[in-house]
Amino acid sequence: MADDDYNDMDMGYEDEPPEPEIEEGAEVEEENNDDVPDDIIGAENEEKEQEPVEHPRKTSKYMTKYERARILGTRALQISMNAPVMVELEGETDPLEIAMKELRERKIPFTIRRYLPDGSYEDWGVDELIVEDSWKRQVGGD
Amino acid sequence: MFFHITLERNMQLHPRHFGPHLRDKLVAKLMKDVEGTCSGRHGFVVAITSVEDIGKGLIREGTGFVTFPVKYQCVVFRPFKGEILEAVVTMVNKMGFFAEAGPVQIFVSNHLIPDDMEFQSEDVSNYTTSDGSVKIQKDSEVRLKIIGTRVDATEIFSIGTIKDDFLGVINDPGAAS
Amino acid sequence: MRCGVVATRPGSRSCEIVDRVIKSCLASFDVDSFFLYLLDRKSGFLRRRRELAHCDGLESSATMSADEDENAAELKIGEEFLKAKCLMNCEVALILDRRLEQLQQMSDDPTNQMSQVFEKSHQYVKRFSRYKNQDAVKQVREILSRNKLAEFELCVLGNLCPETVEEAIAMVPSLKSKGRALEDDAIEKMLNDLSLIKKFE
Repeated sequence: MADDDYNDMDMGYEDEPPEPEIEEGAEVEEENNDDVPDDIIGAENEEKEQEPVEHPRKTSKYMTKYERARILGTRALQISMNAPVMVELEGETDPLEIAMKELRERKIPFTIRRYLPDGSYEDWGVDELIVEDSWKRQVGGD
Repeated sequence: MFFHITLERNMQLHPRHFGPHLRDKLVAKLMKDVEGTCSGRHGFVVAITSVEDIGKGLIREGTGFVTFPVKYQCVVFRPFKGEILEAVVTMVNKMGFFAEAGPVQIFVSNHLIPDDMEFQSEDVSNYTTSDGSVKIQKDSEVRLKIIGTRVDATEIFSIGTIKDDFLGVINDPGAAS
Repeated sequence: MRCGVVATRPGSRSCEIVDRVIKSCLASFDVDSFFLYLLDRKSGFLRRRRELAHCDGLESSATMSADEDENAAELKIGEEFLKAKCLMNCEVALILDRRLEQLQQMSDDPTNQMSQVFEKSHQYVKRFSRYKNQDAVKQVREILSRNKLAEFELCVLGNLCPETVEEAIAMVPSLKSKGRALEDDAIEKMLNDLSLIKKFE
């Protein structure tokens, strides 16, 4: 009986009027405010827009393999949806391959927003992060 | 009354527009989406005058789309209860008449037309005073007071009155009656 | 108490009692009676609760958008619009003219791009603009803004161009309310200035 009580209680909570679901801020950000796809301007933009981090950032300057996977996946998806490619192609056709090439040349127009446990976040441009050697080999591994 | 206000909207953009003309594409899409719409809160959006700020885009996981928060200034038209404005009569029948002030339809019931004006169903139906000096028919310009608004998803209807001082037909569009 | 309730079935007399308990506890949210109802007719109750919550939400949002005591005559037009910049018809005409020009440059056939709202507004402001040229419009706003008017009042006066003080007060009742130090003389002077602009335009 007591068990029933608890189950029902749980159900009660589940059946509360559904809160409107707020979409979680995606971790990856499009860094495409610049009209000109120019490296320097892009970089300047980035400096200017990092208002949440006045103090030095404290998370790792290395890109984690999870970030890398997510970036490559998202970017490849965008490329497969006709997004303009940021690098010179030499016959590549596979979107993932192109995304890898873009990452290798640091041309992926994303910023990674790393959320910390206290809810604050740090923004890191993909071009700032170090993609570690062994992964670089993978990135370049064809 | 027309207002110039700043609004915000999240715009989803397809990856194929991520080139050098991203901003132009975004603005064009904003105009297409927003101009001509109507909300109960802000009224009719007549025209976007400028785009103040385009924030950082957020990538929608799994779709490749990116959502940009866009702040823009626009001209809106919103009728208010108690507001006095001028309108053009579009239709007259025995129930009253309809008038238009910009995008807004205003209905003036015959209870809210001065008692000395009678409905005449001649070839052009109209409301006329007994001495015939004042006539309301299609295309007349009237000054009226809005006494109520009803908000729909895509339209705002208003009820007006001309039964008050200084309201009614404007004989000469140049000068107030 | 709980055991007793478990035994009840919908329709039985004790169930009615439960119903009554629920009705009273909806307001107070007594934990014990909350429990008890969950045991008995959980789904019905939950649905009802959700409906209630839903209604509450709707109600509050409806009153927010409908602005029950909205009244332009007393300048109650909502915070957002009170702070916003109002535009006189002649100003809107200038803006829309320019916008139309822009669009004509952009595409060959501007008419099919224009929304109905735009077209209607454009016709309307063209028909009811008191002042046609840009300088006059500027002067009108200047004269009106000398008198510490709210944006909304300013634009009503600019749109309707009343000729007498009485008319002006009838058009904008808020001119005389809330003990404003706006004298009839001041209003009259303002109206005279406006008609002068009109004359010399």
